[in-house]
Amino acid sequence: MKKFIFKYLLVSFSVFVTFPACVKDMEIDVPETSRKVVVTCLFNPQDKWELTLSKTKNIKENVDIYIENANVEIIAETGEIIALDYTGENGVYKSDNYPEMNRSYTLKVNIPGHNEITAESMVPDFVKATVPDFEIKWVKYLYPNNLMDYDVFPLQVNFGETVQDARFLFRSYYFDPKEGYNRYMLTTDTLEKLKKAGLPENAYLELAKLADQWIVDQWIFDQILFKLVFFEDFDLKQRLSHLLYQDLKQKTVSVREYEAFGRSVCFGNDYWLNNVSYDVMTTIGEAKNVTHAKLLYANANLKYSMEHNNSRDEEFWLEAIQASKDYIDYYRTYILQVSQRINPYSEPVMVHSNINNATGIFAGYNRQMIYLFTY
Amino acid sequence: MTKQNLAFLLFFLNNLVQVSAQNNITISGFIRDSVSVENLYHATIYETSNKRGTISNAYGFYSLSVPSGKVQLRVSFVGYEEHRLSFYAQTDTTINFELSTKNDLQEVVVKAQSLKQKPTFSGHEQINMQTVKALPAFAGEEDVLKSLTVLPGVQQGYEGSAGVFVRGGSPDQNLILLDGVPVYNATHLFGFVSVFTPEALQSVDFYKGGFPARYGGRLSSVIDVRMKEGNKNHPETDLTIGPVTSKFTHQGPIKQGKSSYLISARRTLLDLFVTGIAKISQASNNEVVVPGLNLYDLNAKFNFELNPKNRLYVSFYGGGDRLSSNFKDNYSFDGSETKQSTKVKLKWGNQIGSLRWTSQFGNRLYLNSSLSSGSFRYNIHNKYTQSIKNQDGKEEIWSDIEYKTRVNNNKIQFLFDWYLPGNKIQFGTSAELNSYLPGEQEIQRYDGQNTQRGNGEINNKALAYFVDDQLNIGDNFTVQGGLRLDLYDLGGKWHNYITPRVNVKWAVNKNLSLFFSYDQMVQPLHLLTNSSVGLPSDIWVPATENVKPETSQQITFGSYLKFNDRFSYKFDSYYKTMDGVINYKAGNSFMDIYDDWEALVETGSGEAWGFENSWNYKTSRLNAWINYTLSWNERKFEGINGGKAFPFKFDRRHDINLGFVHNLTDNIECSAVWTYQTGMAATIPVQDFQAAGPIDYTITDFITNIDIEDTHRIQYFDEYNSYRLPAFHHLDLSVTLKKQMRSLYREWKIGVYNAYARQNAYMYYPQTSPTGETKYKQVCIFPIIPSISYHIKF
Repeated sequence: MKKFIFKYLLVSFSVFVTFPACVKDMEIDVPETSRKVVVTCLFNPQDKWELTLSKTKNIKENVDIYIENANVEIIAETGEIIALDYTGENGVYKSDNYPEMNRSYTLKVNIPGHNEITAESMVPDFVKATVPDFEIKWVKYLYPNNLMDYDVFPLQVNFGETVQDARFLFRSYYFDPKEGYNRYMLTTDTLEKLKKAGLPENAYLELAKLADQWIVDQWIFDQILFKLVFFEDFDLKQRLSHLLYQDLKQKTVSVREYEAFGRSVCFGNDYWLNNVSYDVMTTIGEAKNVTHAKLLYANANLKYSMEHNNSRDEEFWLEAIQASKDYIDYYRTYILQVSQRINPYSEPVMVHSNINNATGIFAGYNRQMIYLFTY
Repeated sequence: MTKQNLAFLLFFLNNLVQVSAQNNITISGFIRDSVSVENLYHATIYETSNKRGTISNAYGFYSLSVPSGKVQLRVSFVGYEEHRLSFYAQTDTTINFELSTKNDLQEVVVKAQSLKQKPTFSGHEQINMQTVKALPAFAGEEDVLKSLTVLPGVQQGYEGSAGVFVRGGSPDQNLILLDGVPVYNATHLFGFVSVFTPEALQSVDFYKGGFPARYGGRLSSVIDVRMKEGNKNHPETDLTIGPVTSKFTHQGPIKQGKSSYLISARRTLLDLFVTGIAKISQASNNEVVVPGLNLYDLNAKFNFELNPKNRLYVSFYGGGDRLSSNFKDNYSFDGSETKQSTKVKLKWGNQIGSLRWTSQFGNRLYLNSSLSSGSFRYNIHNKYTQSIKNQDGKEEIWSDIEYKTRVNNNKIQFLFDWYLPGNKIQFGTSAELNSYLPGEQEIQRYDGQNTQRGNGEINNKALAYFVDDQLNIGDNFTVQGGLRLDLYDLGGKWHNYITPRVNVKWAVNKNLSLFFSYDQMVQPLHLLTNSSVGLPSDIWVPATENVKPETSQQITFGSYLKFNDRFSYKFDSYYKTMDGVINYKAGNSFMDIYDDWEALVETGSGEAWGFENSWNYKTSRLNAWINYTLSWNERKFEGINGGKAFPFKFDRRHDINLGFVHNLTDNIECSAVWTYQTGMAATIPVQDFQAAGPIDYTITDFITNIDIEDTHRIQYFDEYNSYRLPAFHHLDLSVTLKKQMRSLYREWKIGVYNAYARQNAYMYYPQTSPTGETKYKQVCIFPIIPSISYHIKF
């Protein structure tokens, strides 16, 4: 009997593993849906007014459609009218003016043949955020949404006052002074040379998106080769990498750009702060009458360097964004949409929009970069 | 009430009792199985000369008032030999009937009562276990809940899932009872197998409309599952080995003919392979991951005859799933030796216990008193330890994290059956104490930095009073009117809900019956879910002052037409409205449950309507059916889809089910079922745009462990659920080979699920090519599943 049961179970189990799941292209009947105008404008007092106008693109297309003939005005609550002019590139409209704090703005966009597009938002009143001196005390934190362990240390952000309607986003950053001012460019000539050396078509198309632009992170090219070539042909990947980095152009800039900061992991450690879904980089919170925010700051390289007394002279920063209601709703739903995009059990997430007669976002915010320490 | 009215009422009642006392006698007793002496529920007893009849209650008790004199009784129950009895009676008489099955163990006729029986009222089906066993089984698992999806108006959710959607409702709107106790999560393996072991069950009563007043607390259906009482005459053992689970059931007498017991156990054996192979294959590595998975069910029931009029029942069910992973990693670096270990255990399951006392008072009144408790728990336990040994000594850090959610129901109920001449009144009362723990996390750490967060436990109370009167008006007209008063304690303040129920049957002639029903229902609890699939992570929460109970109204019209003894047609139409249904607000999910959950959800409404058609052909060896439902199902929330109504995810316009069960010989039975459903409603964004302030970092999906592509683009859609996935259909086949040997009965069941390997979409996801073009990929998880199971009974 024992023998029989064992044989039986073995056959049953084999049957189970012999018929695995299958994946195939899905035939969906995509109807002709009308394109929607997209307005995107996240504004803060440190940057001049800038707004992008485009149209939604069908997923089967690969080129964005920009709107170049719009009349764009922003009307401040004081009655001041700020006109934004088309820059001639990628649907971007700009003005030399700066948004001001604690002031409401109304956006009006007129496109021939389209109803007037409107939206309203404001930059919240500035609240100074500071991080008091702290000692780095590493602890393990299990993020309940993805059940992964992170090495983190707690820190606290003080607002110096009671914030009645607090809406904050926090992110952690690091800056490498040795690499942070370098810029890299892959030229079209080099790309063609790589193609002749056997670069596959899909990797070519991916690299072409970055060609002829000054890029902060030189390793992004290697990541593409790793993703699209490495598993097919290890030797080819090595050869192409060698060719690429041999011809990669380099320059040094004097300005510390936002893009040159590297992202790290940050969690909320307070009742009013949370990360959305599987995202571990942005902590979001809304609350009334708060004076501080407790966070958990994580950086695996820093932990390793400190354990091995290997200082890299990297700077560690905290970004605190004080957001308008629309800004925080936009980010919360945007991150959730991305996080849940391939989850079969999730309901679809519509990203928050406050644009009338179109879609997109028009929302104000304040940004502060808080220096923490160098190691 | 005035004195005149009161006097009139007393006079009327007095006359009623006197008239009935003068002219009628009462025949009462129990109807039982002749072999096992189990009580038979819903057996018919009919007095032919006066055309009066009734059916036995859940404990086999009947009471029939007939004129004194010659009495001619016919007692019948599907699958049993009819019993006839004639006698003269001048006074109330007690008669117990014991019916014999048509062919005892070798009974091969499919007792597809639900598909054959002339319906008593619209919306009610009684399913016996032979019906369930005769249908093709998914992966060899005969399943009570899945067998319901054969019926019109009942739809399956995801492929393979045991979650059922009844007339536009969602799975949480089904009141699933096991011996009268609610089962909150009725499935194993994330929804693929139901918790009910068919060998331990006697019958299932399924209501999708015309709800008796004794049922309350859910909007869309009642699935009342009853365990067997156990054979009172001789011991009996069932043993089944299947690809997913193996089962053992044993029953027998405690005291011959009087008291009995039943014990049943079911467990998967797959984990022996999964865990074993993982251990063997990774034993030599420094990194070891040992996964574990199992499910189990335990049923036990004991019944004792205290005296001929009093009986005591004790029943218990415990079942659950375990999923575990044990990760170990050892490495040395720079003179230090590190050992890491992460143990994750997920466990969830139901526990149910009930104590029931049935009493007979005189010949007309029967009391069923019960005390019960049921709970569902879901726990995640994660323990991490790391020890580092170097020249400075040994350091150990650890964290112990536990997440738990729980719902518990304790109930006392008194249910009376009162048999009067020409009508039967059922009335009673119940009181409930419920507790909910909607998500709590506790973290303990090596350094004493312990934390706890969550909503805390919520307790509430409920009271109910109900009455149903089934009145026969003449020979052809039956009316069942019911009224239920529910009182709910919603956060310290009592709210009452009166829900009327009406059920009418008009037998126009012997071949044609017409039906009408109207129901109001209330649901004082909600299920927080992102999936509608019945995952253990779904959280039950009570209705509150802010998030009120869900309510529904349903009206149905139907007919039953019998063309001849073999061929019949049944039609039902329904219109249902639902209010107070909940949905997470945009941007929220079950991951935010540590916050105030009431702020995470919004309430809306639902509307469903449809037409159900059922053609049935039945001979002594063949039972064939065609069921077709045409239906619509919508939801409406202020914050979703711009406040406009949108199709519910499981809105399926067409639902067709064709099938037959054929006894080729006495020993070979074959069956086939073909299911076709319109594809699920889906939101497939076919447009996108460049995000402002794009996410420029990686987000990894927890379930698939895939890095999500195109995080810098926002998917855009105008309407929720405006697309349809491809149609869902599959053909399932089954052959059962039976053999009766001396004292042993054995059965091989060979089946194929999805015989022509239809690739039905289980999930879909977008994938962008380097050129920027996005295509949707569909994943099908059950292209074809053959199965074989072996069953013996002795």
